[in-house]
Amino acid sequence: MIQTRYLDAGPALPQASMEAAMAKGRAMENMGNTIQAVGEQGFKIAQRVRESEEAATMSAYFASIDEEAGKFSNELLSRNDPHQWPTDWKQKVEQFKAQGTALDLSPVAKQALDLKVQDWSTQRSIRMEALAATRIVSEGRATVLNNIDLAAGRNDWEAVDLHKEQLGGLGFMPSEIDQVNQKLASQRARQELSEDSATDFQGTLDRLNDPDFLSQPGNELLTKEDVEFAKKEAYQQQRFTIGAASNEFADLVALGKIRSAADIDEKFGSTLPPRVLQEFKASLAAQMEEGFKAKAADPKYREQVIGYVENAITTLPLEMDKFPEKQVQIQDLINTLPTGPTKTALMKRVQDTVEGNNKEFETAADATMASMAQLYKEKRFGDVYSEKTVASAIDDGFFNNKKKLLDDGYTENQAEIIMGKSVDPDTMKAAGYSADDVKKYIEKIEKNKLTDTDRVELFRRFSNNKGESKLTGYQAKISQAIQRGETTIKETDFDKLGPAEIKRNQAMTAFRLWMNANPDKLDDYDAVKAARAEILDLTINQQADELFFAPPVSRAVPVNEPPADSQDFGVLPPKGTAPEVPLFLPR
Amino acid sequence: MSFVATAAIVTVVGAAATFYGQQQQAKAAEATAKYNASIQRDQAARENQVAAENLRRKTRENNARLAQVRASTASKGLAMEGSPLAVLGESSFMLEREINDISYQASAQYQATAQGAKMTLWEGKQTASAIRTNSYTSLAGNLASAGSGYLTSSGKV
Repeated sequence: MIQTRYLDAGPALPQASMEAAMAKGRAMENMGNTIQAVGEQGFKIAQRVRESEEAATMSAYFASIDEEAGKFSNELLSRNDPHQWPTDWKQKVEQFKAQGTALDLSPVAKQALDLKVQDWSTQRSIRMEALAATRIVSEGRATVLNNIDLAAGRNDWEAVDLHKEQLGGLGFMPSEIDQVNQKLASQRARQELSEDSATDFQGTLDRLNDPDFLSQPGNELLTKEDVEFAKKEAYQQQRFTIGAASNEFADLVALGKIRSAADIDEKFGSTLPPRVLQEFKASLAAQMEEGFKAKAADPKYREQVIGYVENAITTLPLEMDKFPEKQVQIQDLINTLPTGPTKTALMKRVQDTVEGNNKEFETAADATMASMAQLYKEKRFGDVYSEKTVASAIDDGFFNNKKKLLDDGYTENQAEIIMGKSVDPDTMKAAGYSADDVKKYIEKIEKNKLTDTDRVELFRRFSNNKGESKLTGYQAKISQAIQRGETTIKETDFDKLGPAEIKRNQAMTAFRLWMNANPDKLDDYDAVKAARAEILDLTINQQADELFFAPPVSRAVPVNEPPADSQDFGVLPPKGTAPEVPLFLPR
Repeated sequence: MSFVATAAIVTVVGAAATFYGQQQQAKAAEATAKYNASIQRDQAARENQVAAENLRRKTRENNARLAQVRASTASKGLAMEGSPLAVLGESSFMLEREINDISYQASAQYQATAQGAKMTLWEGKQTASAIRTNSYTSLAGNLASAGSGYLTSSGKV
């Protein structure tokens, strides 16, 4: 048997591993990937840092332009050219944008910034334009209202109507236009009233003093305040008119161009009320009287005049009913004084009073002067009481003067009954009297047996439910005296020129002379105080007779009745007690 | 140097390293394939040599067997004619067929091994090519990413 041994190729050679061969490269690849990841992470961090920095920059930028825009807006709002505001604002916005462009920002951030700035400026611009439009409209409204006011102020009502046509176009609501119309109507009514005051102050005052004035046709648009204002105007016009007329009157008398009452009527009759004319006539009569110049030149006369005028100006209410007469009297008295600082000072005080420009207590001396008038009221210069019989008190007119009773609000019939002249049964019954009472009073009147007690009772009964009466206090005093069985009443009578008033006038004159002599000490409190003390010591503690050699002179106007409404001005000599030489002042 | 620039450089360096690593992988793949292919080719050559030797040995073995047959026939006094001849012929045929089988098998083995070497080379090239392509793609992507990161972080885009 043949045994052949065959060859074998043997095991195959091991092959190289591709994975192993590529491991190094793969490791390199992994390392590169890791490095790249680090780089990309760096990018992200850098991006965040940049975004953070840029956000801060933009934030600061917006804060800056916000602040600047606020200031600029305020500046614009303070300008009076709202039409120009939007243009100026746009220019400012361009400046803001330029500031933004100059910022150190990335393009992306700049793009975002541009968008935000655009948005910001758009919103702001809209607001600014809205504000400008509002201001323009507002100014237009204000302008047209102003034009209306100006036209109304100069009484040009055609122009007012023309301006009013613009109201609708300026967005005024119908209710607003109604308000304007109502206001203009009221203003027109006030102006007409004011014109009336200028042309006829007396007539206007008479109308305004009518309690029913506001309810009269044509006056519905006026208010109580309008009436009070018109009254002030009328009173002021009255003061101006009388002041000018008084000066003219004095000049004409001095020139001899007015010599009689007829001359006064001719010259002033058409412009002044009768009562002022009456004062002129009284003044003329006094001046024409023989010896007037000598009286006026008497130092004692002047002493009284100065103090009297000082007191009158200090205490005289501007709008009292009797002011015209008092004003004429004051100016008349001042005209009798010689030219000098005292006359000048008094004229200035009168002028201030007439113009309504009194400045109280401009100096310590002024206050002291006023205090002297107050001292008189406080009776520091002496007692100002006077006594009168009940009968004379009644006869003096408080219960026997129809005009006073009517002025005090009593009816014609009531006045007739109180005066004991006639009895209207219906009026008596309305006051609560029975038929028997009426009959009893009729009998008394017919027999002229009405007593004072009856009159007081009638007065009291008619006073019930009538409201406040000027005469009530007086009536109570008389009624009390009658009930007590007294025949006299004691009353404060500031209207009588007695020793107290003489002392007061003298004190105020002395103080005025001191003021003239010491113009640099008017605010020197110690000096004023010392002067005041010295003057008051002389006038209060001394007897008037010791101070005055003779009573003052008067322009000798007859006194027919006592003043009823003056507390401080009048210097009526008591009846039957007039001095041998008449007192210098008119009633 | 700003933070962004530093980050950019690091990123580019990373991308370059990645690219380089991938290139190295490609080269390694090619080299490995070449190496493995050469081993396969050597294996094929060696198998060829073994087959040739085995053929030679088989041929000698066959000749020895046929000689034994003749000798056996002759020793039995049989003439090489008729059945002995037929047997001899049959044996010769069978032995020849074995040689042919060995030759065929060796040839097939050689072909397979040689083809495997080619395939290994092809695979290496393909792998390397793929890695290179990938490296270029990665490089491009990484550079783009670096640029994008730079532009983004610097706020330029």
